[in-house]
Amino acid sequence: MLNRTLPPSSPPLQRFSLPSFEKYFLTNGIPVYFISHGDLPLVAVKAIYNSGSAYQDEVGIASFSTKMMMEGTKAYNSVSLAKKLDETGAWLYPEIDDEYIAVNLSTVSSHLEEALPLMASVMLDPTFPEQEFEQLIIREMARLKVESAKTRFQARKAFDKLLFGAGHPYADFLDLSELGNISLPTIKAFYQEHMASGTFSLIVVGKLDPSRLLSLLEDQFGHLPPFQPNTRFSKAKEAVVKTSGGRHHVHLEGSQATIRLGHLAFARSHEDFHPMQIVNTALGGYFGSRLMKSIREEKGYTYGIYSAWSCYRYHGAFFIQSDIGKEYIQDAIDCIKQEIRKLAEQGVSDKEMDLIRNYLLGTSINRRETPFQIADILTYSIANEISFEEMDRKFEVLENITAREIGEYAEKYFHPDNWLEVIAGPEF
Amino acid sequence: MLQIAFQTRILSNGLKVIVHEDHAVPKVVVDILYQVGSKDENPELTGFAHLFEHLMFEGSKHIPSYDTPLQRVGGQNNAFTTPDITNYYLTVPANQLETAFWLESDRMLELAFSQEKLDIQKSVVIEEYKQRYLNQPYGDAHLKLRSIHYQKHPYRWPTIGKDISHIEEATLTNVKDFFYQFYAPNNATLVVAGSVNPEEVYQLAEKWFGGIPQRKLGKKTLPIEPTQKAPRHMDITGKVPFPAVYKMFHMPAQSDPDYYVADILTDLLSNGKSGILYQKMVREKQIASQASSFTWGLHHPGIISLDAKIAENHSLEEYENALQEVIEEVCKISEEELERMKKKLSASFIMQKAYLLNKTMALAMYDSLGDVDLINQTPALYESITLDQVQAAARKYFDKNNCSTLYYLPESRAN
Repeated sequence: MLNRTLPPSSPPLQRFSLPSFEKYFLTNGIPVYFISHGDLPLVAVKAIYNSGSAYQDEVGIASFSTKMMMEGTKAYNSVSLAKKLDETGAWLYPEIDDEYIAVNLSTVSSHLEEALPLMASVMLDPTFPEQEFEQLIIREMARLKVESAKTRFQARKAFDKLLFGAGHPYADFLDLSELGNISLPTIKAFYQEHMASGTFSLIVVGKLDPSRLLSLLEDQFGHLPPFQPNTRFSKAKEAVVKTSGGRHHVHLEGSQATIRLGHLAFARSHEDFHPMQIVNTALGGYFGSRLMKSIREEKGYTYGIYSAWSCYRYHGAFFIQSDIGKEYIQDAIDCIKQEIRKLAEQGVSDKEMDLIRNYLLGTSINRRETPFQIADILTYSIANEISFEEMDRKFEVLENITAREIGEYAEKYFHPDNWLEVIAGPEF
Repeated sequence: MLQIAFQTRILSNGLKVIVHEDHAVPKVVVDILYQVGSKDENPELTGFAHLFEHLMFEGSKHIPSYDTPLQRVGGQNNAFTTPDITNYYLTVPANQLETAFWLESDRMLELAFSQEKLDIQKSVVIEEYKQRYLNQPYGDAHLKLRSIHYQKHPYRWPTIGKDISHIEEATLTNVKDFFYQFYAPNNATLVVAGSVNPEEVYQLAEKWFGGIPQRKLGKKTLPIEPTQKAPRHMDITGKVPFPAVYKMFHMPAQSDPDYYVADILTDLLSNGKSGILYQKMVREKQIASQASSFTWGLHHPGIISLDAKIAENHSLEEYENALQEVIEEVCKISEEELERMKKKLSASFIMQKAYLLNKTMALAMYDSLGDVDLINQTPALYESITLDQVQAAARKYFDKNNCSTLYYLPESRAN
């Protein structure tokens, strides 16, 4: 007779480490990082620039510059480029982060030869047509109006502005009234200074032969002036943080409010980065977290709640976010604070520690599966100067951390008593 | 090389078990699809299939918690409910596979029903309702429009439920009845994909699921939606910044060969920046600030949906007129445009295979349509579509008498 009350035996879990990469150079010195990956004939190519939203002088400039790169080049207008991409079976899209700008290409390996010139056209020859720019601003205005009616958007915007101080590069929300100030010359100037100068690195992950890859890349980018090492830094490095605490209410009608609660955290380079990711997992980082159990599964106040110990290159943010029925808001905030205090005072049991350890070990595979995921991890690594060895140090920390230490870290780093509380939604 | 190889066996209690081997990463996805969705609900008790999906995580006969033992072996899971099916999926490291069988088989055997758990999940689902549909600008547009687009067929109510009161009124007796009517090995498909040995999978399936009894299913014959004969229209007002227009057209069921034609038609309209609808409305005429289209492929005749937000200083009338032009253009699209879309689709089929979870869910979904091998046949089905078929489909489906329209108006303008 089958005993259904006992779980089957469970062998120990294995680490799933990041793959190693090869570093090559084009004849002009542009670095090419390559990882051979997978069985499918797919390839992810990323050109990453030493730039980003934290490098701009005015809010919105970096993001509009990258968007405009897709709106017309010497060889293609906006529409003909889109059509050419369809025909090639390739996806080309810009991406912007605080610490990098990337132009991404995803395609089937056999189409790479046709797709790379399209990528190069966007990177090297954008024309910034006036008419496309005006339309882009109008569409962006409409999009921002819809976003502004959402409690989540308002909570995040108010929280970041209060946490870092208005004007800080990590609080770069564009207001509707500021959209009209963005000018095409400023955008072109940003592109000229940050992207046209050719200071980019290439990342390629997928199934293809490296010598074929290098010759294709050489054809597109080898003629550019010699690669210049980075001399720019993001403004986040020097910017002064002016943080606020206390409760702030953004009034919007509705049956729920988005709450976002938290305070400053440390930068990615801090030695306690890995332990704090584990502590945050216990608090609100997965479906079985303390906050999900208490606020959703015991009280039914929300569909979901999560916390993040989010570390950027120069600073960090700790926050808890949830959409809560308006009648439960105060009680939910009280319960959240109680859960944090409990975690700091009592730590976790050995059983919970084992569970979190295994959960994090086992699920790390899911974020390292495809060439696209691996290319993103490598991009993060290069842009933030965090090595794969440092990223994989998480396994060592995970295997050695004790249940008691979880409480000690929580006590040391969580401060719910005088933190920032942003509530976007109705009166309650 | 790009074919997905699989094998199928059916246990004596009717459970179908499909296995796909892929050793690229040391993990396994386990997917169980139950053939029950919101279309099987009582019209007076809508939202029940989805509420029930939540209860499936609240403990089963021999196991008080579903999530904890799964997380303890490095696993992750989720589920979703559609009008046709309820799908549960999990990922585990390859050497932890048996835990997945233990958990999934116990909740197919019997749930640990309790009033307290039901009450909490009712509250969670009500918050989900508000979060997704009520507390978002335009959030309830599709669910309102469906209620006039279908008049007889149970697709007329949304999966989340017609009304919050239906969720509030659900009782423990309803929960138990629902379980025994639909949660049965003879109403489910188990797909196991990843780094596995198929023989071992079949042994585990027999061991954990083999003893679960067949159940008498509560399937009813569903009403057939009568052919729409005239346009339908509704206006709603709300706190939204711009007027928006939503249109739904009836399209064939997923099992109909014409489904693929209707689907490619939708891609031609708005798949990315090159789509005709987007080009005309947003770029060329700038009547809309945003325009999109998508298909809701369903087991019974489904929906093509065209959505747009009207740009400032433009009107709904202008949109309606321009839409006629768009439709005329689609009715005479060129061979070149069709070929372009086929190339894009053929690359996207390969892209989708990069994720083991996508492949596994696709196997389960195609099985629910009646033929797992559709997963391998679909690319060729799209490839074989002719220009005549697309043009004929455009004329047939984009007929004003096949269309229901909803205008979402800002409160201030309506008053």
